[in-house]
Amino acid sequence: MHKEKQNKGIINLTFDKKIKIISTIFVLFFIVLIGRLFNVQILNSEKFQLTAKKQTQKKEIIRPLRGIIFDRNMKPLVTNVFDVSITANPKRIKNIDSTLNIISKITEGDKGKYISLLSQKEDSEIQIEKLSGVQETRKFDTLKLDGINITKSPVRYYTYGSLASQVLGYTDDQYKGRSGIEYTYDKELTGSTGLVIMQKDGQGNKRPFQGLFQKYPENGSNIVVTIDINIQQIIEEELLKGVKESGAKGGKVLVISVRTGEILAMSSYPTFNPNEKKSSDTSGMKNRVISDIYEPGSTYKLITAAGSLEDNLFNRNSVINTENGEYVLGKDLVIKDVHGLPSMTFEEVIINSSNVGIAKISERLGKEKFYKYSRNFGLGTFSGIEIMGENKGLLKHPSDFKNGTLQFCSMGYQIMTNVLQISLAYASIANNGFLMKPLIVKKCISPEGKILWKNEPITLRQTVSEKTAKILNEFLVGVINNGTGTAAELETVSAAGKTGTTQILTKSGYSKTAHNGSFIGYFPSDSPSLLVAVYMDELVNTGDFYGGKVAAPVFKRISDRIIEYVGQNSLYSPEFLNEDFNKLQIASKDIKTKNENEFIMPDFTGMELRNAITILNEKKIKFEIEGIKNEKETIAKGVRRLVVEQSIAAGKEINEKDATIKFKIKDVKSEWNNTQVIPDVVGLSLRQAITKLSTRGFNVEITGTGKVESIEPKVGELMPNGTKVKIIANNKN
Amino acid sequence: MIKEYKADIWIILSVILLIVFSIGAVYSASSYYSMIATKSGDSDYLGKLHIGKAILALAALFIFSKIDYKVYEKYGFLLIVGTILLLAAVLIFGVTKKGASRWIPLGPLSFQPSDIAKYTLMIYLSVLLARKKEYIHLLYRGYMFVIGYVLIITILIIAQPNFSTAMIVFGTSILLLSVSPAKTKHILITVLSVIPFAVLFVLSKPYIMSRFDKFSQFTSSGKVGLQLDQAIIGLGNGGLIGVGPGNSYQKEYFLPEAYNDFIFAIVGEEYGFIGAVAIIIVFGFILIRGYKVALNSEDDFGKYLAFGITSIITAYAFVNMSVATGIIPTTGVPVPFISYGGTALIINSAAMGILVNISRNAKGKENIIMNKLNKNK
Repeated sequence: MHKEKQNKGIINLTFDKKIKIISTIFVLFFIVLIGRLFNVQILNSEKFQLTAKKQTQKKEIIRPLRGIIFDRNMKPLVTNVFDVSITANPKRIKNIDSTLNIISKITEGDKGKYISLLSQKEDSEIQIEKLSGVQETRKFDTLKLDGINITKSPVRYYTYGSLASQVLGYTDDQYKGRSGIEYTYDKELTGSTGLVIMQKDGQGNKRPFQGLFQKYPENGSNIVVTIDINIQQIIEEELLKGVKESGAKGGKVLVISVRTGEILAMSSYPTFNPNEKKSSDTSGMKNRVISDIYEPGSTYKLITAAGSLEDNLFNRNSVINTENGEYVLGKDLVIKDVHGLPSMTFEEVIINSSNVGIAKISERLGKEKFYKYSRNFGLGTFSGIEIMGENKGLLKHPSDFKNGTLQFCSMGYQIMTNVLQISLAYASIANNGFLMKPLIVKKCISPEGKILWKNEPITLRQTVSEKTAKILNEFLVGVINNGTGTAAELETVSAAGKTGTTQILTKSGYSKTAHNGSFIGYFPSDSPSLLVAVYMDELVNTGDFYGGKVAAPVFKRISDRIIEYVGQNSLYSPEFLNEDFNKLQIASKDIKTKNENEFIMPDFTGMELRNAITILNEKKIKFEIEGIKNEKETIAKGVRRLVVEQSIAAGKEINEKDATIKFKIKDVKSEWNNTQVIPDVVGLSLRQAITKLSTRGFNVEITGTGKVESIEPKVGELMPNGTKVKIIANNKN
Repeated sequence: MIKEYKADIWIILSVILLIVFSIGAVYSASSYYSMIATKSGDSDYLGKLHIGKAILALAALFIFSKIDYKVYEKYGFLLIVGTILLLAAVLIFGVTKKGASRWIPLGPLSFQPSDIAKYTLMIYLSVLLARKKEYIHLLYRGYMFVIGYVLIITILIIAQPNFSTAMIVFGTSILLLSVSPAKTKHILITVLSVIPFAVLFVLSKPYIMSRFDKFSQFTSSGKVGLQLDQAIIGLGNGGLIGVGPGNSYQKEYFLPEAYNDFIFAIVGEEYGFIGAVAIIIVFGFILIRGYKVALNSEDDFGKYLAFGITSIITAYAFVNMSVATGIIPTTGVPVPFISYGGTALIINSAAMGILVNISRNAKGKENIIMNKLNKNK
């Protein structure tokens, strides 16, 4: 002890004292530590608890499936497919080889590719596969592999590509409707999103526990539109053809059911394919049938005439002074006719589309009445169609009329309408004066199949009396029979319609070289059921630009094909287009019965076998099918069985009830919607042959005149739409 | 000499308490890591390994408490030479883990020689201090000789590199010297001359610098989004009474090595402020009891060794807890007895066994008994 005392100062402290000091310091350290813990765990605990919760919870929104859009015959037009992404976290995969084996089996992908991808990044999540457009995802749902994460996001799939795309519209990346039906009925189609709270770990990976559903997703409702996709296909094919033939910049076609106001088909060219939205030209996305407005031209003359007849200012035989085709209203205000005559009857003014004549008529009608009738026909106001983007057009108020305004308006200038508005006005004349509300959607069906709501035809008002409508109908028949619209004459039924040709208004006045040509018509004229409007836009420096030359032939081709499709007789049926008036019934009506034991054999070629059998069974005709023994085989999965040959020729009269018809069939993959059988047209007149071939979507090239001697490719061949069929007729000049 | 005195039962109980507690804590903290990291998804994998080591640790505690500590005084020189050789060997043959060569593979048990080194250094320093107590205040004959060993061991550990362990070893050695008759002047000069080297070393190692950096960010803004942040979130999430055993969120990969260096944060999350403070109190208790053993030891060797062992355990506990609570920058130091430590756990327990053995020979007890005997007379 005495040695320690030799040290001086603090060193003099004993071992005991030093230890006490050091232990006190350590205890103080510990107290600081406890103070710190008190601060974190007691004073700020709530804040950290919130942070901890937040960083462990991952809210995941579960998207509901968007509703399906069906056409009027319940053919799905818009459905859902899935983009499937498979990511892998190599660190967490228990057995790489067997895991990748399972994955490559399901994806039908290359296992080697996955291995090389995985070897690139060893410790982070990496995407090893991305599949798009997957229709069946059930096989992915059952897959639960450690370290493998599968996400699938639904994507809209437009079954028919560009067909009816402008009506259907499209969705954005967020699966939200941006135009057309997709936009207008977005609420119905969307359904409600589900919410699941997932637990995640510090690396952001989902914990391997089931997520907690806060809310289950509810799928969207389905929408049934009034469109008939077959008619839509007809109009789009013919519109394209018409545009190409006439040299127009664009065009529009609209098909309306006259009695119900339902829109059966609607398209404008150019169009777009919503499945490849990004690459498409945006100009094709607009539904120009309702969004574009222009001066209707001569088609508007009917509205002027309707008002004048309704007010009994004229009768059909009233003589109008047409001033030899040149009517001077003032300085620089001259109305001219193409073929001037000193005078015409009221009827001739319409049939010959006389500008001077209609101007004279309008003067008697007066601007107030003119305006009233125009409004009555639904012009200058929204048609009420339930898809977005309609432009209501322009109708001047009488107080804004100047010298010549009335006369020019009477012939469809200085007035702007869209195609739908003017077509509805025509449809009201076809429908005994009753103006219908345009319908694009038939009904909304819940995912479970319950009808949530339904659109019934709505009569808005009567535009003219039945009597006036009848007279105007006769005028319009005259336009086709011996007026400006002779090119619109149909094969099987009588049609009524009106041509229109307008000079395009440019900054420097009306163009001499740029025109719009149009034709609005309906059929059958004795029982109007369908209206077809055809507009050819911006015919610049083309040889023909008159509506009667560029639009009327398109009207004819479309109408002929539609009649072939729906069946001529059905047009007269009061049941036409009713709910249960399906295509099968239309087809079976082709069999005309002269007496109980006599039939005219229909053309079954190209028909699906089961449909053919339905008709045969109904008529109790015996049949044999090559290669098929029992009835179960008449339908096969994944294929369409088409009749390619029938042993008894179409049109032949069968007397004996026990006659047996034999079929040859061919299987076509279900996806090949656009494949058709070349019908037997040998021996038919050229006109009949062309109708038959074009109805099935074939193009025709003719050599000679008279009756068909042979065709190429052969009868019964399966050919895609648009194939050129060469017809050789027996009279080879 | 009377050798039948009772060992310090409180130290034994404290260590057993901590080890038993660690089984639950490690089980919970390692479960998620085990589940993800093992091929079979066995969430108990590390927990089971830890139980095995805990049993060995308890065995070591009892075995070493029975071995007369004077043995180490006898073989102190051999121990320090062996340690130096081991530390040299680890630099040459050692297994590299996470960028540092600290491990020597030994069958299923790999171990860090630095875990042993801190105790063997304490043993030999105690031997020297006891033996040279006459001239330890002399620079050349005493102090230089002693500090030489401290510097050799410190440098060898730093070379691995294991900066934090080296600092603790150096610090506790200095602490030991400061309670010896060594001159304060010498000690101060030693510390002051080591500081520039330490600073230089820190500056030359970006990984240490970045920790200082993050720490300064943390102290200024309280947010770095890293381990430290996650440790604080864990503690805060625990609140007063904790989220309950096994319910920690932070162990699920928010805190890396939750079962090891940051287990204190998990304990604080699962058992709350009460649990965390309880752990601190137990370590504080070990500190007091350990120093009491030193005070009461009948010989200088036992006195210094008891002080050294207690200081090392306390220093480790304090450094680790300070890291987890954001008081000092992040450094990879486990909590004695609680962390999943493998061999370190066994070695620490063995050291506590030595401490207990020293307590058996405490003169305090001898005095008490003598007093009692006297009173009875």
